[in-house]
Amino acid sequence: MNKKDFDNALRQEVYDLLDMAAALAEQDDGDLRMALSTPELFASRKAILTGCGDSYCAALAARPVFEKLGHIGTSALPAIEAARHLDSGVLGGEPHNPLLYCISVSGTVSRMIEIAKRGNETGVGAHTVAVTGNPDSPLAQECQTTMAVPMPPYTNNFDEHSPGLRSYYASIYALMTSAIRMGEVKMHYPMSQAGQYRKDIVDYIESYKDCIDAMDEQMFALAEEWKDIDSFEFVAAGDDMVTAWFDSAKIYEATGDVCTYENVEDWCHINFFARDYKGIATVLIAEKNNPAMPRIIEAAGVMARIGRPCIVFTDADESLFPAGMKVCKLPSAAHSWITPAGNYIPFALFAGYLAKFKNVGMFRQGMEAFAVQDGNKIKTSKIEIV
Amino acid sequence: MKFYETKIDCQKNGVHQITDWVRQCIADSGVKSGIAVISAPHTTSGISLTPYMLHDYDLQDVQIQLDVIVPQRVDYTHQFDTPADAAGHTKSAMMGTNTTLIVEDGKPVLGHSQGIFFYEFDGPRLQKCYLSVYSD
Repeated sequence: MNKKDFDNALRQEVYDLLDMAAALAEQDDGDLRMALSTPELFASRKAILTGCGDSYCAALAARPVFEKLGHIGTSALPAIEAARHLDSGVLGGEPHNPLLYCISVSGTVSRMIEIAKRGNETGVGAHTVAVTGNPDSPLAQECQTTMAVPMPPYTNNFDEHSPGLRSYYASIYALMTSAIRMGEVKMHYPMSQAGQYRKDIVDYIESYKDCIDAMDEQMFALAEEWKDIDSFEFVAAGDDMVTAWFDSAKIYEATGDVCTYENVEDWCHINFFARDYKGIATVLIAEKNNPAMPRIIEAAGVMARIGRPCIVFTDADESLFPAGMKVCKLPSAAHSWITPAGNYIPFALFAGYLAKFKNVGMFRQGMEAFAVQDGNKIKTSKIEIV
Repeated sequence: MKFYETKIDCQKNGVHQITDWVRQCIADSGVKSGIAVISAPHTTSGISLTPYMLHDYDLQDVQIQLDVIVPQRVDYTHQFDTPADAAGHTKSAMMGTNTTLIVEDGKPVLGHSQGIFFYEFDGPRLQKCYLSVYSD
């Protein structure tokens, strides 16, 4: 079997991402740094990060960084929660509070525009910030501040749209650097440290260059082995849940298989009982400093004992996991909070190969039910301020 | 002219005595009579003279008084860096980044209590200090 025949748009995006990280930082750092003024960063006592799909996942990835480095209480909310369910008192009543980051790469999705409108209509209250790749978008025009993250140009060699890794990384990078900037201007660390944090993020992505070809081989082999599996579960804990979420999204987008994600404790309580346990591919994500690592190792033992097809994505010592369990060894980041910026990379390779093995188009390309323009109504959904 | 350079590992708002380094450089230069120019090539640093025998915590008096005059505010026009950096630029401009000393008998001419100090108004940073010794 020739691996080259299984090359795909998602795989190419992975490889491009490894070069894009440094280019993005060089291109966008100056503007990102100045997007919010020092008085605006000082005036905010609470931040809300909100987005749809991958943008929501980027919010989840960045939330701990705002708290740890920016020293600001931060919530990450799905768009529908922020738009329709968040108490209006949370969005208004105090100048510049909360700092409401509305994340959308295209800047055109209805729910994000709705949230920005809702924030702005509080009058004295939320400071709305568009985090977008399109500074001319409706979302950017609606928000008080635009944090623009245009990406270096890229085209793949395939007639298909790839699940967005570059855009996801760009959103994460913009948010993380905003959090770093907040801690910098609040003088929790000097400018040199802030610069080092930004470099650490880029260095982490670039560190995958040393192992990406080996990962590519491993993920190709895994996709061939698991090509007949149609159900996936992603299991993690704490900050690693971000990647469990994102990996499951890549399966939906790349192959359309049904999957779910669950924290390791509740997996043991609930998902453990799945009847077709030998037909569910189970993916564990565990950064070596994860406080729940001992519990994850226990769960890995359970999965191995009952015969679940499993793989662990980790930078920890492979010998921690049951003998014979598949392990994909990840590079370590300078700080644990950086890992969601890149630890999805090998699984994205897998998802791309799996789509090829299953002979399915990404985003259901070629299927009539999915051929309608904005068929999922994310850009044409009615905007309502409740 | 003889030129010298040293590096100073500055703590935040650090005050670092460089009197001995200046004496050694002047002696090394062989200049018996002339001038010595000390320069801090930075925008958040300064050079000044203050009593050499003070305790470290007393040396902070100058920093504290400059903070009163130039407090760390969030609304400096200079927004690219931090409030400490923006205030540091002003403090550096006020104190000045260079000082000239008389050299006589191969030594800097200093008053009884005077010591030479390198001030950092932001930091922590690894900063440079230059010295040029000229013979008459």
